[in-house]
Amino acid sequence: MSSPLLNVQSLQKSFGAQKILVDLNLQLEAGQRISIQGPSGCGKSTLLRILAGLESPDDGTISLSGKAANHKQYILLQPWQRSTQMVFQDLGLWPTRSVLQHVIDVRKASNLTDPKGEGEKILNQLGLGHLLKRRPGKLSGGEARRLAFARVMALEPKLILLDEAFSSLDPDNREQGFEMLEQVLASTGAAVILVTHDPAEAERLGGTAYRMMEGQLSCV
Amino acid sequence: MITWLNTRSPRPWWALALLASLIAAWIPLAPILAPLVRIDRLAQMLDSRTAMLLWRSIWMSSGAGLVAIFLGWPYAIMACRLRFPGAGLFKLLMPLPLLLPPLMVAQAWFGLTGMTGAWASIFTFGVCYAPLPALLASRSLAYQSAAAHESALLIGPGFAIGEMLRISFLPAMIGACFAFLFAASDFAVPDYFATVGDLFHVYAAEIFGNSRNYDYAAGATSSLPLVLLGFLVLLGTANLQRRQMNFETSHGRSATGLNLRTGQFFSSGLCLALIVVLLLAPLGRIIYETGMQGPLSERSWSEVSSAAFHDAVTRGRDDVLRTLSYSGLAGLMCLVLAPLWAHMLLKSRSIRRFALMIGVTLPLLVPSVALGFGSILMFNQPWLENFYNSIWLPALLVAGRFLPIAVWIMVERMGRIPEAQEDAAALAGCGYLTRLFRYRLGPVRSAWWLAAGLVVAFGVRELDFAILLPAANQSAAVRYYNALHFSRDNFVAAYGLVLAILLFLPVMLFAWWRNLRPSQA
Amino acid sequence: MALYLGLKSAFPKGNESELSTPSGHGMGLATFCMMFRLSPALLLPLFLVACSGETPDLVVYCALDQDLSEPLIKEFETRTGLTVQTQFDVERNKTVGLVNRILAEAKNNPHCDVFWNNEIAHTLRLQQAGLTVPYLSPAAEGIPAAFRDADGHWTGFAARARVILYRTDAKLPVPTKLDDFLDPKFAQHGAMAAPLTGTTLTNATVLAELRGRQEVLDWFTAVKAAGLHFGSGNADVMRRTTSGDFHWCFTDTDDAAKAIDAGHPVAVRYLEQGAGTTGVLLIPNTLCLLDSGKNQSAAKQFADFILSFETESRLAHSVSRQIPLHAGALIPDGVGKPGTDFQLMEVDWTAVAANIGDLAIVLQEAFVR
Repeated sequence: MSSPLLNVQSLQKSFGAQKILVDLNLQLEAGQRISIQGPSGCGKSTLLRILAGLESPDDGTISLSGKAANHKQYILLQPWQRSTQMVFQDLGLWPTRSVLQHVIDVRKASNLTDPKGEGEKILNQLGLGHLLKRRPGKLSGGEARRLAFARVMALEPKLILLDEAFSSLDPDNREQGFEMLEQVLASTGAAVILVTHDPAEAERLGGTAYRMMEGQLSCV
Repeated sequence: MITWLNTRSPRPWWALALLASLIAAWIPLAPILAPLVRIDRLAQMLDSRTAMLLWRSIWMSSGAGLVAIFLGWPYAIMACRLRFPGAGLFKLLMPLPLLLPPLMVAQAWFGLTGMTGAWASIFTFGVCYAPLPALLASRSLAYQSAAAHESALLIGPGFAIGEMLRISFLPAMIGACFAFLFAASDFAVPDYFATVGDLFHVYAAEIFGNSRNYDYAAGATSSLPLVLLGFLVLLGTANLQRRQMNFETSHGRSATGLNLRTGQFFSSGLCLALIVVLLLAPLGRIIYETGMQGPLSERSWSEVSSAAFHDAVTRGRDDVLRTLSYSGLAGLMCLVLAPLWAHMLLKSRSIRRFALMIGVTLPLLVPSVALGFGSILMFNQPWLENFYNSIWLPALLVAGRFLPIAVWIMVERMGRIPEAQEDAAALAGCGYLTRLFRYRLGPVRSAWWLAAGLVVAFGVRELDFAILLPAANQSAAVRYYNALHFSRDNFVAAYGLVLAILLFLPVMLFAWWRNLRPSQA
Repeated sequence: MALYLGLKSAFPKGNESELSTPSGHGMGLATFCMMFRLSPALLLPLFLVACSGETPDLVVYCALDQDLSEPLIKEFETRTGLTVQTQFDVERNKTVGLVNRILAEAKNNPHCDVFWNNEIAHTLRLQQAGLTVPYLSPAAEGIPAAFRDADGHWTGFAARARVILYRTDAKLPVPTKLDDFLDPKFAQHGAMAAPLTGTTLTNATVLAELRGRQEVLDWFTAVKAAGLHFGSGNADVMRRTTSGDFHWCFTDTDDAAKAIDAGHPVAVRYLEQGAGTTGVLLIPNTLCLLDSGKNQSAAKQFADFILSFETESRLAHSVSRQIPLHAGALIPDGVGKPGTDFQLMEVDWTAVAANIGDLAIVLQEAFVR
């Protein structure tokens, strides 16, 4: 039997006296979608950051495709070794790089084929083909969000983490965002974890919906 | 009292700033403005010889800028954004080389390596001004969005470092431009290396020679090429700064340090090597020189060194106190004037902004000695005799000359605060001072203190116009330079160290205080 | 226009910058307001106190090294009870800074009562500008007439000689006359300061009076071609000789004294000695009273003190071993006695002062490259 894409066992994390994650368990298969809902400050984003390797837990284990990524507080797989990508609430675009450079850079850094050709294809697919030389500071909010997804798509990850990626959008733009996500998922076949405080977003994503309460996940 | 001071309109306060600059800078500049633009006389002075001197100044200063960026930029990235043992200490030490007098650094590196000539000058300037690119780069790294950094980190540590390099490149370049400006106008360091090695000259020596052989007016005329060059570099710098502001998008959460694991020892070692070059080696050599003697001397190193420190403290104490008094007063003046000037520049447009920019910058670009003679001609009047003899005159001139540095810092910092914050306060009926000092300046008050501190530091180092003013004639810089010329090497080393410690201490305390308050803008 | 366009984009509009949330920043205004509250209470009295300082009894502008002159001036204050305000020069200005300052201040409101110069040519410049007042100090009677103005506009004392400082630990030839510098066997191991300032410039001007300006310029070109090293100053070539870079240098006796005191294996040689030679150039300190001085009586007292036998002896025993000019002055070991230990050069100082400015410009063009 093949290993799950993501296997989280007894994950714990505290900030000082405040317990954020308490004995948290989670499994995710390739191509699966899950959403995690919960109020602000309950630890949703911290969980994503730990899964991405950007933060270490206090205890527990994480494995990715059967490979140990964390053991207790030790990070065994670095963020760039996890085939995971994340879309941040404020997108995290690189202000000095043009739209095209965003996708070329990441494909080059990950030794993926034809960075320029594939990059242009992805950008055209997401409707950014006419903005190749523009820098993020000159993009509209929607264009910037498409660029963030284009960057994820260019990397062909196995797991995509969305940290309140659609939270600040109006309903029309949010729907466009989800359509874009569908394109990305169709292109990469990646699994996705969406963190949100909005039940409508969780419903729109589909898949399994969890709620985070007192540091643990429960099915909605 | 505060109520009537806190007027709604900024105009009375801007008028105050203009009035202060009029007295502190433009009145003393008046006698040299006409000779400064004597193009006919300049044409006579410019020949193949002076053109070559100018060219040498340009390439040497460019070299100094490159060395400064080469040393300061990687240091800033490592000390501010990589996690390794001692990173905090390295960050704390970062501004200190800027406070060492360049002549002292020149003396130390000559003693350590025997280097001389133009390349030695370039290296010395690079070492002295490396903190400029380092400090500016570190500020921009502090503004890097955490999400942008983490997006890069998901691709790889090399990519994350590449993104740090990209985000901090323009600020490091701006720092290099300032290094260029300071190096181009410095006469003492090339003169020192010409002294201990083969004779060579830079354009600043021509200005100095003309000031001495003819009069200050000839010096002012021959300084015009450097003044114009300075303006061009500053304009370029200001454009780089504007471009950089579009790149800094932090929304509160700052990017954290990068842990390179095995690479952390390499980072630690490289940072240590850089700080040795920038600070510890020159300081070590200077400490050694406090007790250095000829081979036939019968006194021990510690005897000579103790005597040198004793001399430095006893003979130089009054001069140091006097220097700190007028430089400190100048710093206080700039504490008030710099935000007013910066706000005025930020609120001005087109021609008016251009005129203000020239007005505030010119005192820094003209030869210091010309400013001193200008103040003699304008302020040495029978009815101003007490003022002329008081420390207020050097304090005013130090403030007027170095105000541009404080204003640049404030413009850069205050320009980052959204105008909406100030507009909202205006709509709520807040007076101008509240709007300026609470809503525009409040979030960047550390830069405010830094700006005033730099004015004090540059005031302490000032020599050429200070010597011409009665109350600043016996200053620390005069005693230091004279001792150097008269080969009192032990005294020079000890006195230089005392001065450096006096300047280091507040900066270290300030940096330490700031490190305790990481949330500040 | 380019400047204007550059500036137009130089500063950003406030709304272009991104959000930076202020937190707890009332201190900016509070500090500012506190400064204004304090300003009448603190700054105004400070300003008044600073601006109403006591008027000194005497103002002395002194170009001699502060470390040497300051103790003597303090001694004068102690003895007479007069307060002296002293203004010094930075050595790299080589007295010209103070002279130019006297000239600039003289336009509106002169301050200087007495000018104590560490050389002579620029004192004569002040005399030629009509700024000096004659005073024949009784204390200067023992000083030879060659070092005094006949009318008393200036008086020379405590001199420096231009000498060769050479290393005693090497068996290389040392020049005995100036024209030895033309011989590569000497020149390639020697150094002198470029004749741009100070005593080296004075020396060049004196030579120009003796030999003619063009011949001196040719002489400098020839010694350079012979391999003589030109440094930045006398102290510097002395330092490089003590560190072993050169076997000998042409410098002043005060620099030579420092090298000997610091324990270096060096000794002094006087040039141009013997029949048919020009002798050694001696450059004295000079003292003059300024016509515009407001404290003439105190100025005369000061001149009497500084020109005295006693002061000269103290300067002779100082670290710079200034050579006393008073007949019968106490001369310490290691200091040559003019006319006895070495032969003196005769100089027309008026001509030197008249020509030094022009020659400085020519030499700047020749050496500042």
